[in-house]
Amino acid sequence: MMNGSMLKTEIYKIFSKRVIWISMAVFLTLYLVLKLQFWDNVSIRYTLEPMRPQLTEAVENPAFHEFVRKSSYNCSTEEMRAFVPEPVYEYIEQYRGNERIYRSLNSDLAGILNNYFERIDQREAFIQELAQKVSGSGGTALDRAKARLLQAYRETPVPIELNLEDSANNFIDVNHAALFPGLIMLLVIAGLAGIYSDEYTSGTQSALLTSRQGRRGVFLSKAIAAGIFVAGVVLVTEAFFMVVTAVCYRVPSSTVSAASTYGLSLTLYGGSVYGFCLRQVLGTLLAGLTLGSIVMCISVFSKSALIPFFAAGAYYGGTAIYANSVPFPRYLSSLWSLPGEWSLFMLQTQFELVEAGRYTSIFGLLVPTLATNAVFNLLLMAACLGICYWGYTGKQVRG
Amino acid sequence: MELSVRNVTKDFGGKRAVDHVSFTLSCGVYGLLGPNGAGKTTLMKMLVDILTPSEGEVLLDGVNIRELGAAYRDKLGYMPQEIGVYKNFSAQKFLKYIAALKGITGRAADKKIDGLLDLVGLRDAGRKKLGGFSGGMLRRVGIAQTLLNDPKILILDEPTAGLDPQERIRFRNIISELSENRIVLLSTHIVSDMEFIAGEVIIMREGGILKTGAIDHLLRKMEGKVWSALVSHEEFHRMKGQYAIGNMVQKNGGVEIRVIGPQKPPLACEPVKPILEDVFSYYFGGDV
Repeated sequence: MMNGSMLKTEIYKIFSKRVIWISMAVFLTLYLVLKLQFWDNVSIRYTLEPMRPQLTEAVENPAFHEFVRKSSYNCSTEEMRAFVPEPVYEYIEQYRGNERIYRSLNSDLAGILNNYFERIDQREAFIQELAQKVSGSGGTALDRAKARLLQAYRETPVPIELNLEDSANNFIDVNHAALFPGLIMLLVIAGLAGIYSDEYTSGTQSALLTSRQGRRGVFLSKAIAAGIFVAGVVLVTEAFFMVVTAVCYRVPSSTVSAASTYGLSLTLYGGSVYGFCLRQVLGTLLAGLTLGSIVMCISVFSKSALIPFFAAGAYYGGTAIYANSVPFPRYLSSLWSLPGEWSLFMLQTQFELVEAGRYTSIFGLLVPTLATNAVFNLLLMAACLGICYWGYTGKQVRG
Repeated sequence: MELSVRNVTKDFGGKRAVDHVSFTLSCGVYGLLGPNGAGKTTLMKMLVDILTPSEGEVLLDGVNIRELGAAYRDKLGYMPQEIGVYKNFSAQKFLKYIAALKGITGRAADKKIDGLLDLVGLRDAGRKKLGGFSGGMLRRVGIAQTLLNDPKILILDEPTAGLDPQERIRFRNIISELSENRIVLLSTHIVSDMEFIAGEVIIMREGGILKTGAIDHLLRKMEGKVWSALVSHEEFHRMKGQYAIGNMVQKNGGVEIRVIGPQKPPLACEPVKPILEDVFSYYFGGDV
């Protein structure tokens, strides 16, 4: 059916394209240059992390929480003095000689504590609002989604902790910032666009189709080579991003829950920031494999690599733009939001899909929207590979 | 071993490219002759199973080649009209890949590739990138590629196109050597090549078979139908529309022509020994 030599050559055919290496080098350099601007930044280098025990004790004081709430989460450092232990101020005071560090720590203290209480209250208000809505609801899918969500919010322990360093947010942002996930996919498209159509343009199709290994063997070797290429591109770029992020923003001193980072206070995901990052990397891998299958599927019917390049690019870009433009509904995904929610970009970032719990009704069955995205893209990948197999095994060489 | 084409037809939309063609090939060299658009390449593509007939079937020893699948392809060597290669591959690397596709790997592949590069005179260029190869060199790579699996059925579409005279002779000799215990079907526009290599010819016209038979037999049947005459330019132009004219050479202020037809033309001429080109001219007349 297939042998190692065929697979090796198929991998070589993809990797020997200079455009891939040049694009990758440009793209990684761009990332490095952009991120290096934050290297050794004052707010990254000097954090309140050494004061974690004192601050953790302070935020457990209900009076402090109430005080911040009454000030509409806009307390200044000085106004917090009554609740924050003195060693914290002494810690900041030691940098008085260096205005930038001193101001940064002061601003961090107020910002982090205000935000901490605000996020807890936001979550509580959200759950209360949901409870009110559930009490007067009927039996529609939306009603059932609300009830399921309320139950999930009440039963799932999602810790909101003090997030004293900026690095946790930045690790999540690696796959959340729209540009870089898109560039990874651009490499996937560029690498695979000619996987079948190049055989047409180079005139090698008949040699492949009349060989002993035949259509199935060639299809299999190309599919495996494409998978290896996608995995390589995703893992190398993600590893590079993580290393650069770790160097520029530092590795967080303590692991906090993803719910403790900006924008995720309403999430039902109870894991750590690292756990969330790993899910994003796995999502990017699945998105890459799905997009690779789409590219292969178009390439098998194309006489030029430009067609799969632009068609797959349009699919990825179009759904990503849609996902970033359409307002996602609360509680239950709609037919209008699903094209965005099921986009490959959303599978990569996952951020908007987990920022608050949301279900999709599949023939009356409520499934978390993130899970439906993964299943949809797995099915899309299987369908594209199936069409590609059918297209290649039935290929007719006319011209 | 017998390769049978049974009532094979191929339609492209409303256009019929091959029209109910039937013949049987056993071991030997066969030439496929016909003008452009006669359906030769389409027929060859159906023989190598990269094009499915609209009607009819191709059988190897009585079994449909589609059912035989890999077992048929294992016996098959196909050289298309346009030789396709990966320009960034060396000849050796390209042949190694094709060998892998044909199920030959490791040392066996290396040995086979070295031998074939030697055979086609490309041993010194084996490590060079195919992007720098001339048309003739690429065609030789194509020949090597076709022979990698030691095929029992060779289908060669215009194998000598682009080869210089020396390369053509070398290729003809390779085919002659290989023809024992093999079925070789080749098409070429160079009719003289066919005369040297093929034992039998299949002449196609407008998708159908016009004539088949041994070359000797066809030539014998042409005896008394080919004449040589020295005519003036005016006579030549007058005759062009009435008779099939084979070779013509400017000579002594006139034109020496080979006239092909069932009857002697009404001018001073001598019967000459027919060649395969005359057979072609006889059947295609003004098409030539």
